[in-house]
Amino acid sequence: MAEQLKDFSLLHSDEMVLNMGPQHPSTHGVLRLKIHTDGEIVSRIEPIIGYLHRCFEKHCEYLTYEQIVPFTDRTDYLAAMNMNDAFAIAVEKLLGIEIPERVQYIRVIMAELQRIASHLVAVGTFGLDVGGITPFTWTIRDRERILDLFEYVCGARLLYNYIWVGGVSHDLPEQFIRRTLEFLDYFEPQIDEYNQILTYNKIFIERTADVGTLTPEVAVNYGCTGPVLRGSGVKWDLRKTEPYAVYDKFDFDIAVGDGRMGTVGDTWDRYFVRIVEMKESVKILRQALAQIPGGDVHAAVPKKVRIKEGSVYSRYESARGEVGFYIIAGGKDKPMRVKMRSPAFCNLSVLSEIAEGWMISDVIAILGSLDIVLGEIDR
Amino acid sequence: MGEYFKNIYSGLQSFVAGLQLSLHHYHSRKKLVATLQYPHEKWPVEERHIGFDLQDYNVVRSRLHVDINDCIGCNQCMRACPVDCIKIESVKPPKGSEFDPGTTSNGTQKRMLVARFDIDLTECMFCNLCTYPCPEDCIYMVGGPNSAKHQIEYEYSQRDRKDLIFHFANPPEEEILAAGGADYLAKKKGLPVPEKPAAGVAAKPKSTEPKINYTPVNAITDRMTRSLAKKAFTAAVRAGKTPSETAASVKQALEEAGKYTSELDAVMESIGKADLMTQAVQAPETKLTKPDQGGLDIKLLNDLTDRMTRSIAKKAFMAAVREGKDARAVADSIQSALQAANKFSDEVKSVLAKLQSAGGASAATESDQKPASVALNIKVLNGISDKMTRGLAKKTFMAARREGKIPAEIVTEVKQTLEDAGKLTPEYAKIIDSLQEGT
Repeated sequence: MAEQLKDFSLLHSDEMVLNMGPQHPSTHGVLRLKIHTDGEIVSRIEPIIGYLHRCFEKHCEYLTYEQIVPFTDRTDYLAAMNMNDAFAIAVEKLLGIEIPERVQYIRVIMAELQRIASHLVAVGTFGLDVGGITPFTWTIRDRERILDLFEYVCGARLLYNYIWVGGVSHDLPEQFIRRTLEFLDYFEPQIDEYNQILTYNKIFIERTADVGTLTPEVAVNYGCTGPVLRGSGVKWDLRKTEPYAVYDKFDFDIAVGDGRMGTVGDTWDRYFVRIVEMKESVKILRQALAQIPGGDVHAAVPKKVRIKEGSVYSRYESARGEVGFYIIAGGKDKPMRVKMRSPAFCNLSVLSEIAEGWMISDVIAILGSLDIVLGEIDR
Repeated sequence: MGEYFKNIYSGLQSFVAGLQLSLHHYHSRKKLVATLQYPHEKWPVEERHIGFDLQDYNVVRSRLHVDINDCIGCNQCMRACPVDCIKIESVKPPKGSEFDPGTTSNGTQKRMLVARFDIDLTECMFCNLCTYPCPEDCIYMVGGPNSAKHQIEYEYSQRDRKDLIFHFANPPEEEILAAGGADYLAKKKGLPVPEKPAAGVAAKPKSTEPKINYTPVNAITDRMTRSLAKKAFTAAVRAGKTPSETAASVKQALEEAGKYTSELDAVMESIGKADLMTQAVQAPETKLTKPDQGGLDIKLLNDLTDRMTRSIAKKAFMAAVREGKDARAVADSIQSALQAANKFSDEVKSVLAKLQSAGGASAATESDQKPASVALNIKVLNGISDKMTRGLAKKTFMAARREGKIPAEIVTEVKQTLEDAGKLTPEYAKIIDSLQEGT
């Protein structure tokens, strides 16, 4: 069982700075970690970011609202639908337009499918980080089916530009509901397989349980959101606490960590929250697919988005946590300022706090459990 | 001790469970395999036909393609593109040109020749935003629902990066020339744009053409009637009718509309007598000269704080000045105008006093101060054909004049500047010299 070193005075040796990244398979992108170590014990971690900075926020000031949507895809490229949706909802709030119910349902379906796809990557790569290669191939295989569904809907597999301000670019194809239900029927048993091969694997539990415990207080203080916060046992999910779109119509639970394998808020809990969330998403999807009403998806799409004045902050529960868009309209068809709150950025900032005193190999596991996407952190 | 063995047991158990699963997957590998043996197998294209009419939906993200024969050059896709990877240049045939750009497959008459339609696929981010606004459905992503238009194309790799810039429009030079694109061609080749037969000149001949003389028709007071009459009048004149015939046709048109009254008899008579066309009067060369304000400065009135008052005062001021009144008379007329409007106040009084006192003084100084250079006509410099040189010369001229230099000084200075810039030719020198001759 891995153990956390609490008393550093026992070591009395020189500090060594170890550089991990920016090109490293377990940093999940171009993240550089300056790890201050003592032997193999980590005393401090400085995450160095910015290698993927693309001036997203500045770019937005030169693009029309419609043109920003494909750029939001590129922030969180593992949950691009969520980002599209988050931005669209923010602009709609600013415009004050009512969205047809069918569009709301389509968006929920897309968001939940995307959440599953994103969590599949998180779960798979987490397994990869701690040494299990097989689950990764399985999760990626199943994610591929979701991408097929997305391609079926909008033609793109990764960066969709599907959810527009005021609606979606296309209505659902004829066979979409049937195919999605087929996928759900196929997918639900797969979750049990992941559990069998990874979640309840003894070695996996040894590597993750009790490691990198994030207490609820620290999580809240650092502004952690999403599965990272819920893994610490805090019941906070914007879909439930501040329901947007039509989430108030569905029956689902907030997945929270309960310390089943160790303490509440350990790495295993953060991992397991995602597994449970996938099940909850399947639940939502089944309800949404059964309830989806008819209607015109283009009814509320404005011909040209032009906002006189005003500002809005809109929050959205993406696969990684709370995405916020603060938009100040500039009276033109372009926003004057766009600020994006990135959930992965806040989640990453807690790394040094929780990885302190653990070994370097544990840092990999802890980082994997935070499920960061550098495209979103750097923007 | 029990814990120890329990750990070993659970470790073995999960190990066996994992292996069992792997074995299961091994057995059903045919069913579960996700990998496509790419060079040997390709994406099943038919299955991806999503079952919509291709006019309505364009859901495939592949290479962008343009059916250039259908493109009307509306630039909407260019404007929609967030990364500016589409570049369109079109040549619009001048008015009266015989050139026919053709029609699209939807039957829309094209109005211009698309001379350049480049899509840089190294920049394209496949967001599909350009395909939605196209009025002719001529830009689309290849394959999928568009398979009737274009075969699906997944592999569009190129040996050279340059080849990823797709040039869709390649009209032959003759065609561009026929469409009146001589300037465009020259610009494209980096040659100096041939001196235009001056757009201004092209527009001007109108003034020398005989114009229709509307004076008699304008005598009609009723607006509706006048407009009707004018229409009929124009038509008749264009048809080359004689004055009396024109009058008859105007009368007829008005009668049909039930607008003809006996009062209009006089008008018809005058039409019958009038010259239908006026030979264009030589356009007056001189611009409207500013009315001599007698040295009075309207700006003094800006001291008035109330907007309404100021505007009334200025109006009265201008009217008075135009009548050629002197400072005192101007002040008086402003005062009376303001009093009539009930806006006269102490403030106005003081401003008017200032106006009166300034009038005499400035009138005296101005005539002394303003150098004779006012008489120098900057338009003379328009004779300089090179744009850059002309600009430079004019700039220097204005600067020198502002400094209050005398004509001879200005001329030498302009010459000097041009010489410094290496632009002075004997021809230009002559033009600049002629500045002085004008005075």
